[in-house]
Amino acid sequence: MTTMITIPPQPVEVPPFSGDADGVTGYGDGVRTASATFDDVGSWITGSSKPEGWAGEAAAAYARSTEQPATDANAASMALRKVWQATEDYATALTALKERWTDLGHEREVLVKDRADLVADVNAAKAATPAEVAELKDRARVLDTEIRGFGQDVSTYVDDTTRADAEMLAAFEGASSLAKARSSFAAGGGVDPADLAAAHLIAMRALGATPEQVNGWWDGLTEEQQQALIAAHPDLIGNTNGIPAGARDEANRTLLAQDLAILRLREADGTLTDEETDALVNAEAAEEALANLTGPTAIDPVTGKPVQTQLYIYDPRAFGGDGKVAIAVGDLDTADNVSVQVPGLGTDGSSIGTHAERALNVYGASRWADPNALEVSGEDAATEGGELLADDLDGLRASADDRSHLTLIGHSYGSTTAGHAAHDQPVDVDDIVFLGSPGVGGDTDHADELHVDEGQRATLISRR
Amino acid sequence: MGGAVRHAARGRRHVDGADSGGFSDRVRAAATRFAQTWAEEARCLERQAESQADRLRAAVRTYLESDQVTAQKFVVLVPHLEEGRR
Repeated sequence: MTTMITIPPQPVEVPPFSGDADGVTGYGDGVRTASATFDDVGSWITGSSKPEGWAGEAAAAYARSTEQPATDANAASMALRKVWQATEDYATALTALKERWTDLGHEREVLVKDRADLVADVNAAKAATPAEVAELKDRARVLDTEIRGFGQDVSTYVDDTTRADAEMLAAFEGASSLAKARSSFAAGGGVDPADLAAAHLIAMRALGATPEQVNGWWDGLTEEQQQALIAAHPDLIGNTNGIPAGARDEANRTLLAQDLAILRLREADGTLTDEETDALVNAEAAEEALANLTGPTAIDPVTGKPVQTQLYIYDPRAFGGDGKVAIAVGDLDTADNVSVQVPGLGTDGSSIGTHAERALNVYGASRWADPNALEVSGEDAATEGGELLADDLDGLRASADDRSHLTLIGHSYGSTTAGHAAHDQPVDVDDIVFLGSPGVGGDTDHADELHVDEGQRATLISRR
Repeated sequence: MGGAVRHAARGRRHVDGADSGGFSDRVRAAATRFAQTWAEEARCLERQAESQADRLRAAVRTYLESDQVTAQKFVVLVPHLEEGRR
């Protein structure tokens, strides 16, 4: 007697994956920076380009003639910003789709093997008992169900891929010309909502808002509003305490890209001023430090993945050209443990590379405790520096998702700055470590005089 | 408007150099077109700003010239002036 066992069809092929989330993010970063630059053009035309004290008919005619270019620049800025936001979503979708594509590939391999095993077993079962035949039929039925389910999963995956592509294409189409950008800008009343939000933040700062208040305001914005502010006002977002580190990082990387582009252009033209030369040195040091923290030596010893970095503070023109730069190794917004390292004399923005390596070492050496290290580089007078440092510490506290264990590490004269911060201000740190300290500063004679709660620690490692 | 020219040039470089290789096959061409379009728009803005700067320079020249002419006329006029009060 012949028994029919229906062998299920081969599982459908998974279409090849195309796309690279990192590449899309890089493209989006360029678009975001271009958006910020168009915004600068608009602001420059309506602001700085008008000669002061110029009045009369000619001045009015000039003002009228600048209206359209200024509107166009602002419309372009908003159009590009929308595309940047779409690239962010697209990159996130690509990452998830790539994972699904990999999983589907593995699933298919298993199903193909199961089917081949079934075929082999059926071919070998020339004189199978009824029980053996029943078992083979059962396997065929189960496999058929699995292969059909797999086909559904592949179909859903293909639909999702198509949807992600379609949304990205729609974003490109919506900003495919200046005419469309003008139309969208006009539909929004010719006002950039990011400008209104920025004006609000500037007013908050002027009124002395605390980092907690800034953070509360930021959390109340929609994601779209937050992204708009990052793209249109990176100078404001990048260095305001209370703004989360992730947003500051995006804003500061935009500023860094803008600085490198314009300062290198002027360097090539031979029109770089002394102040701009200092700023370029600091900007290139920040660029190099970030690049070094993405190399093969910057691998998380636990996960084996590249460490995350954040450009937390970026102001290459601060302190008369010494610059102020802070790079975090890890994620300051979600870290359970954070160490803030304050270097000593002779430190300026250009030495951020050395200090970023130290931060990486602290991160790597104590990875078991999940520390995330922030290296601040900038030379201040210790008292004033302590005040600024205290503001930065308040900002870190306010913007983190949860309260982290915060350790302040001061080296050499950096310990004096740290000492002033902890003595003169009500800072909220858990531990303070003074390394090679010439004196803690602020007439501090005892750890009790520092704002470190009882049960927590102020440690003097050595004195010279 | 020199500042606007520089800003616009900077904006153009950021989109002009954007690598669309990370997009899927279906999206890549649109990404390339988008970058090219906005690089061209930035070029237009640069040209507009440059032309505006030229016109501003012309206005400055006109101001200076008329200022100079007035000054010269005044110099010529001075010898013919006399105190009107007695």
